[in-house]
Amino acid sequence: MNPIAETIFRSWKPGYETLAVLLLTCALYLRGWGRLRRVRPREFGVARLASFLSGIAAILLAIDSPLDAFAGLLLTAHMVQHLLLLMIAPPLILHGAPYLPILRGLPTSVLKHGAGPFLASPGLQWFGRKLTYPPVCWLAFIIVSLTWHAPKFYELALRSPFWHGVEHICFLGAALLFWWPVVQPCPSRARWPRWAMIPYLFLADFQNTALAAFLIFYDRVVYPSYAAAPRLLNLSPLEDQVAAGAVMWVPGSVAYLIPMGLLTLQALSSRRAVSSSNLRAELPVIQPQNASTPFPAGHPEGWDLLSVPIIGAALRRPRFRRAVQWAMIALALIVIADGLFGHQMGSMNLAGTLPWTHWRGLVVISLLAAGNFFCMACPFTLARDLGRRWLPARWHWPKRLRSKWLAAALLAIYLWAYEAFSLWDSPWWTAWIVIGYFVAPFVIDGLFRGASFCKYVCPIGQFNFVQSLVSPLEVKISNADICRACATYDCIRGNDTQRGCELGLFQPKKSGNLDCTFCLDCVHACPHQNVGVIGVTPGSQLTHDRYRSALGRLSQRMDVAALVLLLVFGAFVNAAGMIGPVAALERLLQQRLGLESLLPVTSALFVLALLVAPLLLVVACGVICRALCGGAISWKELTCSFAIALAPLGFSMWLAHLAYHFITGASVVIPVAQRAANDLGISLLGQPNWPNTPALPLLDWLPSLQILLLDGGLLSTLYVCWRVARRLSARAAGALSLLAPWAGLAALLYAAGVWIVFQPMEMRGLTRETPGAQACPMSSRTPEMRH
Amino acid sequence: MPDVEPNAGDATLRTMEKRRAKLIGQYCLYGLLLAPALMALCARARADGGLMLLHQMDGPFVVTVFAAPNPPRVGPIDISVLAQYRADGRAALNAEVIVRLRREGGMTVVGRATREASRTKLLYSALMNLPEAGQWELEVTIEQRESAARALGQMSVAAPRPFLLSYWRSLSLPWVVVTLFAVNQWLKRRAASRARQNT
Repeated sequence: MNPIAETIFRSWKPGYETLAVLLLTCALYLRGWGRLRRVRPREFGVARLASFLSGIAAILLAIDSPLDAFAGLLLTAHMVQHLLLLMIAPPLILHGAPYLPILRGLPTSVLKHGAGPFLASPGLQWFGRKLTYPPVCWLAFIIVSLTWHAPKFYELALRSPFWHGVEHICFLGAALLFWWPVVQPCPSRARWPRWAMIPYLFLADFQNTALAAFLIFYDRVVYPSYAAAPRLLNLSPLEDQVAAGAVMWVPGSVAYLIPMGLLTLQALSSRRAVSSSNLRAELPVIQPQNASTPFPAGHPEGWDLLSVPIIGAALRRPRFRRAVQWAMIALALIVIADGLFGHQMGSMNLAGTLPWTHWRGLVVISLLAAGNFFCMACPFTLARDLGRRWLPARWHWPKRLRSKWLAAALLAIYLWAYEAFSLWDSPWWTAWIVIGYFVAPFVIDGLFRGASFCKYVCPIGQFNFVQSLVSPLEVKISNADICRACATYDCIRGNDTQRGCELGLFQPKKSGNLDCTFCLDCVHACPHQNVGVIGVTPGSQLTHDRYRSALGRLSQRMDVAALVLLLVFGAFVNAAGMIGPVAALERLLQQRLGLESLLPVTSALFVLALLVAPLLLVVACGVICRALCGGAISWKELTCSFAIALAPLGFSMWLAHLAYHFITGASVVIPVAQRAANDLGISLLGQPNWPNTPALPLLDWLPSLQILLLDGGLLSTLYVCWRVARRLSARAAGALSLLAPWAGLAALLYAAGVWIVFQPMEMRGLTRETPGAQACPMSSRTPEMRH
Repeated sequence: MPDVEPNAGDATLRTMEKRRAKLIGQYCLYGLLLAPALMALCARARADGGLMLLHQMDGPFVVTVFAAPNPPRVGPIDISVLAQYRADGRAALNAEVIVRLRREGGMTVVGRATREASRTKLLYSALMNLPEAGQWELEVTIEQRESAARALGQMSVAAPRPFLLSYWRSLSLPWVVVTLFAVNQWLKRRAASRARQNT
């Protein structure tokens, strides 16, 4: 192939936002089509599927192919792109009858509770009827087509990627409306006789022909941008314009003539018309208000990770867990060795990168994507087991300490030490923390029974427990009936071969991931194989206040609420500690107070931000809430219930912060590992080449991703707050009053999170400064660069 | 354990097979959903033409330089270069293209433009980070075997956009969802009250 042509064909540009929307649509359609095909194979045949997918492919071809890449240089390419969006994709999509399959593809609860009220709304139904009235469809199409071809608007679209996108959305939307009465997608009903579509199409073709003729016969270049653009194919701007007009005229007219011919044949064939009407009569017209009722129930049983081939089999084997723990122990030993004896600059030491950049990032990502899998692979379990073997392990954990207060205090101390002593930049201290982490479980679980360390002490465990409240997987029973018939309770008591849950979680009454280490002891112990790692709606366990095994009711657990609040505010404080304005404030205060060290300032600010401010804010919210509900509910119950609802927002901030470090600093482990290996005299990994470490691109999409994560956290928190408020108040107005102060607090935290995201951060551990690809403060990155 | 009926094994096997088939279908769907997210993570900011800054002839080349965003702003800027042979207008595909941006104060930002970094593969693109607003001198050098060309021009860089404008789509999402949720709840309540009236 000609190299130029080959280069042109390689100019695909995957716009991931468009692709995400199209793939989601396809996934929903496929799911719904599969379900409908089982009950109505004739109406939802392969042809419909092929038609729909072809339509989506036509959109992709228009938007992501070289057509779009060259649309700014060649009017002909731009015109072909428009032709695909106006004439090809819409009729194909509508012929796929997307309405029912897409609705059927939605999860039942989303269809029933989310889309249902909208579909059932008389106002929206009226609007839909008016919108699909043929004259309205025709006018919308003509107006959109003519407006966007006017030089002023066309130039606007050429200059701005945003307006180019708007133009495409307008074209696609108007074309879907235009083709709606022509294709009459199932299950809609014709508003006009079928023959009326012939003049409908003819008049549209007339407009198309007139516009094409204007482009062909006009003796000047209509769009100035093309006059100035470099000529790629030896076509002058005027020749390009004529070619574009020809594309619009000939294939454009054919796109109208084919359906006109088919409609004429259909009108002439009475038999076909009858069969068509019969087909339509056979189909139930799905009234939107009943959209959920004709469908069978969804999947009553949850999706179980243990049923997945390979992964499930591996998780079921206790040896697998042991192997992963050994791997983690090996990594921990490497971190300790390099931290104690290696280079003492954090970004050049494995103790400065692996725990703080990689491990933390991977933990939060796995919590988001799956669940508390770090506790499953915890390397400190070995120390616990050794402690139990070598020490008496016969005492019970003191009753006064059987709460989360101790763990919360340790967590606060850890967060303070992180800020005050810059732990991330001190490999030596990091190594000692890891050593301390081996010693503590050895001593505690060596002296006390059960998993006292995990349940009452471990700060990492508490972090994972709280964050996994919004994870999509939960260790839980599959079938409650089997548990009702069970008399042995092996899941908690254990049996001859397998111990039961060390944290005292009784599976039938367990709810949520709090206190669950994903050790899967209960899975191995259950003789009925009734415990699995089941998929759940993230955060759904936060909305109810039923009794939870080993925890009781969370609305009565002030210690759990305090732990959650500490982690929520800790997320924002931890991220804020890494930004320029906070560092500047610390220096200013140090100067004003004439202090030699930053430690007092950092400590004071930390106490203020992590303890005093949350206390004041939460107490204020609780008091306002109680006043609004007329004192009917206790302050403690209100505060505990709503405080736990803030967990998703806190998690989103941890995720935005730690995933940022992981994404931007992941590659730094290569030279650091090379350096560590060379220090040991191992040259197998090669020499570290610090300046030539592969440069990461400017991650202009990262702030958008961070804001989206915060958006998700805020929305989840608001939803959980709403559900809690509805639980506490029977009336909607009362629930809104209860919600208001907590929603305000959530909005305040969200605003703080967004502000933090846009501040210049310390790009610790990054060695990617190369010409033309310098790291820049996040505030200077703009999303429009992507277009 | 509950009593097991005769031949229950076959039914269990069928159920398991059915469930496995369902699972495979689900994985495909999840894969479809996951793909764009992964693509989003792998996505790179790439140049794609934009504002035409220069169109000059030098040596055997016709050089056209584009910048995006339009107008160029402080922060990352895509500089794209189209090098065409003056003789026949063909695009030069194997050239070495260097972009230099100089500020009056002496600050210089240099980048190598490549076709890999460009969406439009006939163009050479470099992603440059400009720290200051104002007038910048632009210099593009193109080398290919014995031939070379140099294009000079000016580029006016505007102040960065306020972040509210830059990220309005992400920032408006909570408002949109909350509004839709409020309408959803209102519609539900109205439908419930109507149902009560009818009964």
